[in-house]
Amino acid sequence: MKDSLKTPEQRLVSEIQQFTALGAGCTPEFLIQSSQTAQGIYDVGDAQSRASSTVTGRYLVSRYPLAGLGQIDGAINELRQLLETACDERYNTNRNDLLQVWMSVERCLTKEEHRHLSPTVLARLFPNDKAPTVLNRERTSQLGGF
Amino acid sequence: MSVTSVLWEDINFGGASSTSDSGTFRYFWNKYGSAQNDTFSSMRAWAAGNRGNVYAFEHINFDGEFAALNVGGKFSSAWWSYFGDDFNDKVSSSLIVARSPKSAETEVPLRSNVTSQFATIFDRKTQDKPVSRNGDPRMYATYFPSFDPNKAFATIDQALTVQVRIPIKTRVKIPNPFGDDWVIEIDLGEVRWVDYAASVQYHISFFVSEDGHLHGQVLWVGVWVEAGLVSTQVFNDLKPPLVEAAGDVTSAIESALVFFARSKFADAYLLPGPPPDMEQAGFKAHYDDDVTLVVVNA
Repeated sequence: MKDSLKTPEQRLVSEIQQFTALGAGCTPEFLIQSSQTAQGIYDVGDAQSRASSTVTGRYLVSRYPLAGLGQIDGAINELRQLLETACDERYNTNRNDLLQVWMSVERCLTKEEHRHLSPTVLARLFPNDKAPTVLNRERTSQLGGF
Repeated sequence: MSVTSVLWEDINFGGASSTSDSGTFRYFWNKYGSAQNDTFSSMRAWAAGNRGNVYAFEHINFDGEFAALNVGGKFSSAWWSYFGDDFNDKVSSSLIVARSPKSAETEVPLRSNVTSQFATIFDRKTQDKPVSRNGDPRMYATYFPSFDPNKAFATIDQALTVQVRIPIKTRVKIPNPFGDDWVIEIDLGEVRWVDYAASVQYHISFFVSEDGHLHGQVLWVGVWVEAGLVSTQVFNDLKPPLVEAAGDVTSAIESALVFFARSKFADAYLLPGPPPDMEQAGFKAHYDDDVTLVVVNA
């Protein structure tokens, strides 16, 4: 069997047999060390090469962010108020506020709250948007745009 | 001026969602933990003043298969109303890349340009050495890795085969009637051991220096050797020449940027996969199909 076709365990057993045939013994410590890959990552850059494009991101581990008593309810109320008070004249400033609040609470909404709020928020964020008229009923992927 | 995306847990934009907006950033990324990992079925993107591309990846480190949307070109909004059975409930990370105006950008697909040069450099460097390339090098974008979490890299990944030979020596004790015994070491030559799989990754940073010039430099080198009785020895022999070769790779890339040498730039960034056709709403690809360098005029 070619080395590349063996499982790591089969390969290690084969090596130990070969090693023993040469008259060498393996200590338990040596075997434990041998069951691990050897790897490393090395910094070869200079200070100038640290320049980079702007980046931000988030690791969304849980549906529920850290929040004190009433904070989530408070944010949902703020979202409802923004939806009530938003008007075209204030669109540019209001859109960003709405987006930030929505991005922070959408994960913690109940299904009912999400179903109620989501269409209104998206319609407010994208006022000239046209919803897709042909929705997918197939099991194949469906791509679209306007 | 931003690009906004929403991923939904159900087809046709239904169920729980995850909204992202690039704001003033070039890149905005999401990694989905246990709550929303492998749950998304549909995705939509909007150009809110920017051109942009949105990518939903199979794996958490922006790799594996991906489904992409292109907005701000022909389409101001684009969507996957269903990812399809082949990609349903598979998304583990996503990335928004906010683009600059088309007239300010130059796109360069890197795979065909860089990998052939790399193979030549590598083969020369390892001539007469017991290491050989196992297949062609792969090239892909590595986004925000743990070893440099604010940067994106174009990575050359080369699988290797290392032929291991082990020197065999034996000691023979000869009795000495006049004192201590003599010990003679006899060299029995080398024994051909099993081959070891290994790999090397050169992580290249494309960046614009303070004087506005574009550069491409290897910033990190990763070396890996599979587990085995002599892994550490193989690794210790392999690492120095592979790390040293980073200088040659950087020189080759800097030389290849000759067409960019006389111009000034504002930014350089990377797109996963081949250059997106902004006349299309979206596409699917694999992260190592290619990596696209985008250079923005000053």
